[in-house]
Amino acid sequence: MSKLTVEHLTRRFGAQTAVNDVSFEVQDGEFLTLLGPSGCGKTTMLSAIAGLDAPTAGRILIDGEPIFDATRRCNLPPEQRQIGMVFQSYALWPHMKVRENVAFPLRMRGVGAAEREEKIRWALGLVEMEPYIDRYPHELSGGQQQRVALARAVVYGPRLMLLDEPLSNLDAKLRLRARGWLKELQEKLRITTIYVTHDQTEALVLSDRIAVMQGGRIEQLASPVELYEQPQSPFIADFVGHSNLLDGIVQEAEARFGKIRFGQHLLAVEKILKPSNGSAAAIAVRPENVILHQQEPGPSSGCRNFIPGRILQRDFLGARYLYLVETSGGIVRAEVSERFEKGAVTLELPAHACVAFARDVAA
Amino acid sequence: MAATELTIIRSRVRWTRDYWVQWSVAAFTALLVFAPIAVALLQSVRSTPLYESEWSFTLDHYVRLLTNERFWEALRNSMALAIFGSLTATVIGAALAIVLIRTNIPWRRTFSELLQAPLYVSSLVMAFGWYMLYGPSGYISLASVTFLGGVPWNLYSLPAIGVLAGFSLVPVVFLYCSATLRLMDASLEDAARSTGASPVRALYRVTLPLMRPAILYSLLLCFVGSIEVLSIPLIFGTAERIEVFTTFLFREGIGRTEPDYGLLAAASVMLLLLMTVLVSLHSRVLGNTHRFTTVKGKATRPHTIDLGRWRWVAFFAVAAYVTIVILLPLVGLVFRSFVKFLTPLVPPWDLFTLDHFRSLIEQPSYVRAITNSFVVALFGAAFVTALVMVVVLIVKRSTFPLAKTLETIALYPRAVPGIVVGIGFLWIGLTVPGFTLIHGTLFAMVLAFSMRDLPTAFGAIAPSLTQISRELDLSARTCGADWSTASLRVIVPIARPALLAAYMLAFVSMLKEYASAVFLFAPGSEIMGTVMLQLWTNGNFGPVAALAVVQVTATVVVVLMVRRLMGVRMYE
Repeated sequence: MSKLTVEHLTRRFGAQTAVNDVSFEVQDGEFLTLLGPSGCGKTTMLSAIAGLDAPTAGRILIDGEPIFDATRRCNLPPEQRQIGMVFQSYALWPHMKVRENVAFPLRMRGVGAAEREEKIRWALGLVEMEPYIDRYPHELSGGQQQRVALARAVVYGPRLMLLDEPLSNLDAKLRLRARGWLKELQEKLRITTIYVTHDQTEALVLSDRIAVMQGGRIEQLASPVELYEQPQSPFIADFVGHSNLLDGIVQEAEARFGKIRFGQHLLAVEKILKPSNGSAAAIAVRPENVILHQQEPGPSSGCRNFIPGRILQRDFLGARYLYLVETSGGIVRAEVSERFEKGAVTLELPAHACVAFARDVAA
Repeated sequence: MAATELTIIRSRVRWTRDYWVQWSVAAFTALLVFAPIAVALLQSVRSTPLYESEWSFTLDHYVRLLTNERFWEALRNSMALAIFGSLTATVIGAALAIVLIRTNIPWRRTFSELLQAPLYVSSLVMAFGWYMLYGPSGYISLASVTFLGGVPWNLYSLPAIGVLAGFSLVPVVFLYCSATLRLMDASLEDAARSTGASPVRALYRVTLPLMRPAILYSLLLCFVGSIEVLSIPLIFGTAERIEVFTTFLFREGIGRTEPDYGLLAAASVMLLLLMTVLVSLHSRVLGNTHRFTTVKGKATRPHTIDLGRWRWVAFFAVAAYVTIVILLPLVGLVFRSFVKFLTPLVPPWDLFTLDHFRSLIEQPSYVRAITNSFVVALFGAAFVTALVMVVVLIVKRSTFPLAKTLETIALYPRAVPGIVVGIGFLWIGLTVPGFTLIHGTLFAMVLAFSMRDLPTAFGAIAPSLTQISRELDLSARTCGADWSTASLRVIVPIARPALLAAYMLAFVSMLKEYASAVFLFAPGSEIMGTVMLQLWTNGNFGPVAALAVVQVTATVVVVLMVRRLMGVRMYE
């Protein structure tokens, strides 16, 4: 089990920069997720670590030993990196049975027949796929294929495990089960793991730490709780938790408290990042933190921001309703369990749930 | 410390097995393609023949060539032939594609299969078939004299030669246009119908304009193909001394007891230059077609257009074409192989004979020609399939720095006419030290035919490889396999159907090859094509027909066998 270090990694494709000067470390046994929308560079990053793609600049080290170093033109080919990888399509070889698929990495390492059989059994047992050992991949379901792919990736004891959106090809129900599987397996093996996904829930559930990527850079690298509670940019507030992003102007800015002009109203916020008076700001509020009132409960005071609005649309989500509320500053999404009719309503945006970002931070 | 570590890492990365495999295969391919061309280039500026050690640089051969009136005439004739040929092939091929793919004409599948026959049959054999039926003393010409009092056509003319060359290229256009039509979005036609256009109008106003890139590409392809063709002008042009570029080379090289090496080389280089320009032009056109493509990823199965009463008119037109141009000549060849001579004036059963086939068994040179053809095709096809598999793997699935260049090299033989390949390999065999051993052997033919068939095999293997997910071999790499192992253990087994298809195409093409062989064979290494050409020159048509029957039968058997094999694989 190993520690991974990425230093100043850059990958350009012509004029496009897919990964832009990224550095981070993954500790021994840690589960790190690269989270971001498509095109953010997360898959390019994974390919660089696996050795499937050569970056333009930077270094990648495992336990302090370089596997890629642009300045010294060192680029270890993938077969020499001892990194297990599970691909999005699982990439099981269709002409080989499960046994032969899992045996392949062992054969490549010249493992003898007896030991090979033992390890195949161990790896397939780990993912509870032993009964399927003599099946062909096309005779397995998507979830089973995924588990075989996992077994194939870990059978020889790789230094790292890389997972490229392994759950994205499964249906919603199976995805939940497979997520549990993955978590258990990683905890059993304590193998250093890098996981790529665009699904925030997967990332929050599985990871020790999450690196949110955007435009080829890491915007924030933090634990799931920290990321959710203290997003460092409007992008993260939006991407993790789908916050409302409301445009405003900073009116008063102090270290931990501020007032932002939003439409015809002044909103109190409990957190301001990079504040300066008079500058444009984005206020992030999660829809589930917005409160709706039928009558105006009173004037705004202290930490309670009241804004009049009109309900434009109501969507029934099952446990809750999603409302689109028009205010003088723009449309606000609110997720509330009570039912309101279309028409006038009062919004409450609690100051502790509002984070204001200076707009220049926004991409 | 840094320095030693660096060298260790470098040596681990650079001098791997993959490195050697890739560079040596790339170098071999480049040599195979360019060696015969380089020899011709060298000869064209050498004052003395290649086998003489003393020489000086000269442009004299080019001067002699460019002041040679017969060369200019051949060039003009080639251009005229190419214009007639490409127009004929494109008009007929595109029309057939539209009718057979997009309308409800009866017997669509049968016609589509029959139309492709000239792809599998040597143009030499087709030309024999046409000659025996429609030539000045052909069966149908004589019948026409008897019943109509004259022959309303004359195949011994440049336009006729062009049209015949066009007939031999129709299947190419048909295949290309029908592929375009099959992939075309059917909703475009439906949209025209929904705005009130009649079916035929929709065809004319929507489908045909959308086919423009395919038609333009076909025109260029057939232009190149018409310039390259040797057999048809040789058979129909020699009597009236109508000479084109290829027959000019043929006469200069074969017809003289002491060929003028310099002139031959200069003419080869000029032909090569012309072909290179044309081929790069049509590569560019093809590149452009991708920009305004109407082809969607998935093949929708468009419903066909109902021609109404016109479907029978279309049916008889297509049936007439297939019968007159393809079926009758082939049947005529079979017929000819069983009679002493072919004439409508005597009942054929009076002339029945098995002598021609008996001679194939008894004449040692005929037996040799047949076995040689099979040996060359069997081994040559295996060789070129294996070579191209590796080339495609390098081009599509490796980090080889010159991948793009290698692809260009492997596809370049499209621009090299068979006769130039023959001249090039002949000179290599005669002059390059070490290679004199292969002169006049089957091995020289295996090399020359392989060079000819590089693009064919590439075209058969490369598309199937893009359908094999990249993740399949990348996952083998992360499992610890180097590029060679990942390719061999993962991609090659999955690509087996494509390899089989490539092998079949190469086998068929080598079995029917003659143009590059006319310079390469020696007594003992003759093949069917060269023997047929010799026999035909001597007016010995019976054995020619019998050999053609053997060649066509073998081809049909192989094609059916491979199809069956692939069919079985598909249902596995």
